[in-house]
Amino acid sequence: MNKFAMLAEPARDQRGMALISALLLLLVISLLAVGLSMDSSMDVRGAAYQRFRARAFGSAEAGLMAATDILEENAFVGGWTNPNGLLPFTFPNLSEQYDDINPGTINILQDGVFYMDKNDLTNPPNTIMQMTGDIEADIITQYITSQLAYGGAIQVAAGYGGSGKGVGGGGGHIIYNIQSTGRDGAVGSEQASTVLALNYRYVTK
Amino acid sequence: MRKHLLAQEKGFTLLEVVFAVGILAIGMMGYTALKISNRYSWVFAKDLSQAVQLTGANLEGLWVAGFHDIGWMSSGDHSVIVNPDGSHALNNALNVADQEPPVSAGDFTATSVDWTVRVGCPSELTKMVNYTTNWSVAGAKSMAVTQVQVRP
Repeated sequence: MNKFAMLAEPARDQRGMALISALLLLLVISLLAVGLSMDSSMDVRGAAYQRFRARAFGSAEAGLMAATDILEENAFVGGWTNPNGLLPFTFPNLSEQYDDINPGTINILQDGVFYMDKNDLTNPPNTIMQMTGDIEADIITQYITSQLAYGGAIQVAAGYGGSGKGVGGGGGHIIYNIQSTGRDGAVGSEQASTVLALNYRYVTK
Repeated sequence: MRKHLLAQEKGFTLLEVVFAVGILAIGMMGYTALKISNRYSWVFAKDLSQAVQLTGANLEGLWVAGFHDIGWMSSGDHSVIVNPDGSHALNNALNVADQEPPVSAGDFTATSVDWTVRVGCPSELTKMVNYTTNWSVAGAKSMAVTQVQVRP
């Protein structure tokens, strides 16, 4: 046996090594390919999430804006009783042009009662509004407390002290917490949600 | 016998080389296809990201202009169409002071932007604006990003 013959024929204990190394190489190349395609799909998913998050933030903000306006207009209406018992009902002052598909859908829950000025600590008057359509938001309006103002807003600004309605013609104020959760995107891993909260003071006259 | 075998196994045969190059070519084609699709998705992600930024910025811009009661913050549908030659046209301008919101940011250019203003919506003292940026991606697919805002 000369040295060329040794080169041509692998040693007995190295038989099958070519197959194994080829398979390993194939595995490494496949992993690289999968990694490369994952890398590009992550870019797209990140951008898509950014888009959903921007819209979710807009919805949460829109919920706060709508809730403060509804609060402003209805804090002293007293309360509306839902004619349909526990079923949600439609906000009375809601614009017809809110949603093209399903006009006027802000549902208000809380046993069908919307007592904004009710001070009942055993049953905190949280009011839940659900906005659907162009804005996807859940809004919780929570009554915190009401108190007499230390003078009216103008008097406070001008530096007057004292308390009670009589002082400087001041009134009282009611404090609410409003929390709004906006959502966008398909339900699942790509859905984005944003929660915004606001402490709102309704000044009575 | 040994000698004959050695003579036969010297170097590669033409057939072996052809097969090896063929397999390599298929591999390279796959890699190139992956690189191309990677590039497309990178551009898509960048455009989407820029469209989101542009939509948000333009929406905020409209609100600021809205305090001066400029026509395009009045109730109704408004749009800016970007023609293929790059010229723009603002639709439904009600006021001479109306000027178009920007339709491009960086290397991103929208094909059109449109917005709908609903006054007294969803409650009496608020205004709701839906703002959409449209653009096209390679392969002539059209994409859109919409944002909604409500302000007093």
